[in-house]
Amino acid sequence: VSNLFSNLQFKKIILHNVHRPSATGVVPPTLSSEITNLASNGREKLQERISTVLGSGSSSLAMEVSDITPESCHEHAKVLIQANDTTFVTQSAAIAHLHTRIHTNKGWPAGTLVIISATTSTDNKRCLIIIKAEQQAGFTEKESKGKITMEYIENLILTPQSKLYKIGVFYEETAKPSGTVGKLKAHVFDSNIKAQDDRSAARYFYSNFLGLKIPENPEQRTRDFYEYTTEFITTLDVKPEKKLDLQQALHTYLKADNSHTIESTEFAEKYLAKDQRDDFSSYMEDKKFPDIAVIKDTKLINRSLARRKLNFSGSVKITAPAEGFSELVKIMETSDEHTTVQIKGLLLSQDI
Amino acid sequence: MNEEEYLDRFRNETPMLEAWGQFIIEKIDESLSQSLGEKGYKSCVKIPPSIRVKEAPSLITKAFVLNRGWFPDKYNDITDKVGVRYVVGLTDHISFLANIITESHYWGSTSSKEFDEWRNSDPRLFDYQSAHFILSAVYETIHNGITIPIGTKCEVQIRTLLQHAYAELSHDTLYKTNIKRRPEIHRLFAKSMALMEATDDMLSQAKSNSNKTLAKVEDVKQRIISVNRQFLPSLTFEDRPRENDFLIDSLANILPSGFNEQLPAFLKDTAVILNEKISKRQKTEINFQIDAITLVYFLAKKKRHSLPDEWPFDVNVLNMIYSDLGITPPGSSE
Repeated sequence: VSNLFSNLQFKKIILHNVHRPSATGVVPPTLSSEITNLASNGREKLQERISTVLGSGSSSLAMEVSDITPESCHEHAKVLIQANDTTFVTQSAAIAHLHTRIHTNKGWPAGTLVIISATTSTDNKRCLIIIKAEQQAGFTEKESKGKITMEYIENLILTPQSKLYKIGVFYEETAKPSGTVGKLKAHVFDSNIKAQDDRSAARYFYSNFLGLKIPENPEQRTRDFYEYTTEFITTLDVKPEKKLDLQQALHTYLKADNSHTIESTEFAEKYLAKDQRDDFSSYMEDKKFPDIAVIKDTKLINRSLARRKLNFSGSVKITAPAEGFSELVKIMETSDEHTTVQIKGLLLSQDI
Repeated sequence: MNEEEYLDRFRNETPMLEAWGQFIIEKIDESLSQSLGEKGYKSCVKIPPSIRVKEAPSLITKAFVLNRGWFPDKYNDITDKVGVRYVVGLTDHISFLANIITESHYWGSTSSKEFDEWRNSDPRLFDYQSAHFILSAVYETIHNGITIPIGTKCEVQIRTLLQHAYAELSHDTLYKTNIKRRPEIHRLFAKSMALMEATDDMLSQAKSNSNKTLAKVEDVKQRIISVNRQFLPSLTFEDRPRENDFLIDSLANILPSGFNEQLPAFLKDTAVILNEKISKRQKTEINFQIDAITLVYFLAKKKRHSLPDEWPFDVNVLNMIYSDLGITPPGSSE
């Protein structure tokens, strides 16, 4: 099965600028009256930016559509996907107005809405991509007649700095070449969702603006991730001590890591050796675990995460708190028949 | 037969002996070119084969002075009155050539490795594993208008280039000085001989390893080309074997074991994308003009974490491929 964001092809692009509210109230968007013509190398780069942040192995999230009222993004998207040029201009302006209505906090950034109708995947699903890009400053360099000069630019957008843009995508569940659009599915990328500390900064974009919500099964997904990864570590052809370290890393990733999401690619890049990463990715793919971000919720595995259990041959078991495990239990030496374990602490009692 | 009669007969027969030598070279060269092709012949035969008819004084010495009963028939038993020498690349060429010689029906052959034994008291010290054959005419043969009688003999010697160099250089030293009783010089010869054989060994190994790699690359390439024709028939790829080989060899380390089955399955799934994207990119990017580019797409999907470390070209090209497949290039989240 090919990836959702393979074969991305842009049809129409338009830009509208949205502003922060001022002391006197909302500031209306600056609207573009025409579709943008982007040269092919520019299109190429823009497609790359988008597939990089949404594609397999990215931090993007599959979302559920929660708002399907007439003025919602979902409904606008349905119209825009099949719109002619004129309708595309007017209907995309409605999205900019929607953004202005929900932009109630001056702390949220202004930016440029880049609205793109496109097709994606091998079956050419029609889709609408909404990017909110914040401006960045930079320089350009120019060479002419033996002189090289530079120029300051204040309004760069969509540089590789993915922290400075958020993307929402609405796409057809079943591809149709033309005609009316059925129900759309949604996908979002926003680096704020990942960060546990600033939930409202993320929510205004995916919820208030795009009308999406986080899918309802994060506990199961999190448990799946824990179980699959544990299984994967068991099957690895490495020394038992190394497996212990990796299991500890999994505990750390799920329990201590201050992130609101789980990504198998992130786990692989953080903790696995280079030659194990591809195996892990295909293992998780076989298990049908999403190769994007999922919301982390450890409710169902808190008990497992709290204690580590080691099983030895001869039915010897050691259990210890997961927190600080590597200090509490140290494998000092292993031979074919013996394991020397150093336990930090004194023998207090025996259970009957 | 006294020495004079002996020499008379020898001088009379010299043109015939030369013709026999030439005939042998012609026939060997013919079979070699047939089985190896012109290129193969050149990589095997490093110095054009040569004929040498024995010098009269040396023949007389061998037959009359040094003969201690080895040659009861002083004339016919001396088999190296005419000799042919082949100098080949490495030792595996020797056995190849030896096979050709022993299988020919123009002559009968006996191997005579110890041929020159009488020359030195302890020849093994300087000996190397070259091959000697004595060929003896099975039919009466006419070559260049000269009749060669049945039973005419010729010695064929096969050396590697390294053996040849050693033989030529050591021969000069050995005969210009009287060193027979100087063990340290013997030892130096023995050492250089050992070194030469070790060098031959290493070169042979290098060659065999490189042939194995080449064969693997070739297998993969043929697989890619045939799968491309099957699933992407409307794409045209340039026939650039060197670029294909280089790219395939660079990526060989991360080819999954199930490659032969996985590649067609992958191309079947992604034919729509590959057709569209490759044909578009071929116009500006030369990497997309060769067959092996579909292997890169395949690895971007199956080995996305390992691919960037092996990719030998500009990473921007790789990013295009990831983008076409909707895959985030590894490390992008950092």
